Amino acid sequence: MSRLLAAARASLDGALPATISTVDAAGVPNVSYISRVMYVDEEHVALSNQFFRKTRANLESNPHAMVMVVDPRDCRQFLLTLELEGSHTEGPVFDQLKAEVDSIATMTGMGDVFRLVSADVFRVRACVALPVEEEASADEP
Amino acid sequence: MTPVNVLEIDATLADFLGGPVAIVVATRDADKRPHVVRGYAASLSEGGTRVSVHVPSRQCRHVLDAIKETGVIAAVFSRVSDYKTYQIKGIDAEIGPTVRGSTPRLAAYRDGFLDELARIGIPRESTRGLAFEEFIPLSFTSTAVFAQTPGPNAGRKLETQA
Repeated sequence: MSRLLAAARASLDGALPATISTVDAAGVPNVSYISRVMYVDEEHVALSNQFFRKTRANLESNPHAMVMVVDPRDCRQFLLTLELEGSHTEGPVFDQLKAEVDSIATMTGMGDVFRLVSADVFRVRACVALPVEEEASADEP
Repeated sequence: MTPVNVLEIDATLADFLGGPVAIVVATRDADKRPHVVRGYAASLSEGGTRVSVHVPSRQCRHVLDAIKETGVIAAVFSRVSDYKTYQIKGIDAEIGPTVRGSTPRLAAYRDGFLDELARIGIPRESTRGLAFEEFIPLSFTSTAVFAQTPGPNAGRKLETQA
């Protein structure tokens, strides 16, 4: 898994936005775009928590999430099965993620919109490269 | 049993959803774990209350398994050129028979979406991961729509319930 997560780093660094899916206490799914998925180490990623309050509320009652990231080189997609471990509002992970989010905000002209509330650190339970048409098959989650 | 509101989607929003927008479909399984896959070529039926979308056969098994368990869906529709985004929540999801990616509806969506990606600097030669030969149609009854364009109004519920 960690080797595949390393392979997915190009997608984490890509320009195409990732999406996060969560589930609330009543069982209603939610899906939102997120501006940044940051590689922390072989078993963790940090996600930018900006203004998607529903995602945040869902994670407080149900820490499970699935994130889809897109490789900008060929639009291939990876699915990360995640579990929230904690939220950081200061420290090196927060500082690095804030710098990256600020950079994206500047590039996209959305500096007034993007403001990092916290860096949410997730354990990566699984990382799967979704199969593309030319391949015989690959494992889905 | 709690009554569920059925939401009628108006023509303007229907045009947006049926256009060349990026689509992501989410559901959850019986253990309340989320599952997600990219969607293609959405449309509306039954007076704007039923949403249809296609998912690639190769990538959707985990999503179909979860839908069979719960029947609930959340899908986001986003115009890549300006980030305009809506999320639709739904219930009573049904899974249809396999359709070819070469059908006019799916081929037209793909052409339009790849044109949109080209406008934001992603050339067609970099979109191999979006080409599929077979798709599974999903349909669901819409129960709520949320404006989700990035910004302070993200997450606002649209008050157009039928």
